[in-house]
Amino acid sequence: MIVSDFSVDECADQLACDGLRLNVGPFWCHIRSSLPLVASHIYQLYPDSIIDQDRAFVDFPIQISRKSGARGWIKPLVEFTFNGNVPFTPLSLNQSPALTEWGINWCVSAHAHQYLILHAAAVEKNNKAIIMPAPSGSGKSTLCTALVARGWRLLSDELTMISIKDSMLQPLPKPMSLKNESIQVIQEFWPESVFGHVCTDTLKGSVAHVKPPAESVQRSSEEAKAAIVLFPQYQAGSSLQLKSKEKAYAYMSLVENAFNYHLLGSHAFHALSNLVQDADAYELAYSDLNDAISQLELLVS
Amino acid sequence: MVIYNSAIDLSTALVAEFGDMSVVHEQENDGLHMLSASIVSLLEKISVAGEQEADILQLIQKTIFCTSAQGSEAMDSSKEYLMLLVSQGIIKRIQ
Repeated sequence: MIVSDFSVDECADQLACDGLRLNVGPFWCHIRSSLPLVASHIYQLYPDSIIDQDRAFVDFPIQISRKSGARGWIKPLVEFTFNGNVPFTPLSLNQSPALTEWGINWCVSAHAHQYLILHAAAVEKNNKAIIMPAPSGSGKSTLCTALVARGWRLLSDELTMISIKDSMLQPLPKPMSLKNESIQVIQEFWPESVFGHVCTDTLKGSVAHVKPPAESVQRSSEEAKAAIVLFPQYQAGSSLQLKSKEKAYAYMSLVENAFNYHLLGSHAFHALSNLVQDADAYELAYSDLNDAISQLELLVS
Repeated sequence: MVIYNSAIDLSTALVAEFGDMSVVHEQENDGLHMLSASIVSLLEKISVAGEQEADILQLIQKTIFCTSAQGSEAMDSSKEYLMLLVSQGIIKRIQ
């Protein structure tokens, strides 16, 4: 059974009563919430995800709920609860869909240490995956979403999970997060895309999420091999420039973007060494998404 | 007598070679360095007890500059390079 087998009202009822046991990549989340914004977010952006309401064991028991107290009448706040604990400060009600996504990302990055986890986007085509580690504002999520719009498989837009056993990439095809100007850029570039609620006034500005393609979600148990480590950099008005980078530079950059390298020690070292040894590394400066995509299509052809 | 030693314990480190560059991961303190492959070769040749200055200058000449040339100019270059390695915390003066 998948989420879209429910009606929107049934989905909201399940979330509010027993909760929804939802498959996200290799994990199971048990999400409870009586908030209509969270229900519509799950219904709109996770329609292809498997649910199993009889499942006894889940990885991440989650609740997103209104914070009680007098202040809630002045400015309604929501809080994210994981396993009975509240790891974040509450946010405004308007930001509850973003809080849901950030909370699930936190659950993965703080607990799934069977993987080396990088802050990076990853997409795949022709059995060749591209990892894109990059700081905020580099155009990483925009490029990732644009590639997905042109038929690339989404592995993850935020957390790249590397098996410490064989350096293969484990997909985590969650909704793709876009900020500020990128929201309009993708709405124009990919008119058929399904956007969730636009959360305004977050610390990162306006944030909206885009539904991942059904095929990416259905293939979430199919690992991918990294072929390219790409450092994208959006530069308004610049011409397309692809520059080869040294493997050692790629290695160090991936370590800088790792959440749990220090915890995994030599396991992380070997997993990353093997990955980088078999991959090419490039820096890509771009201003036009179509040019960038054409260039990347060539690299994986 | 002046003695220098490696500041990186290669006996407990993991080294991945990528072309002319090496990534060195020290397991004991979880330090991570990116060094040229020739520097890693130099560090591997330094004995556990350390090297006298004259010996380490010769090692630098052979390993880094790939020459066995004698003379004050070659020695000056090696000294300068040794000071660079010390300033970057790759080699330390122990005596």
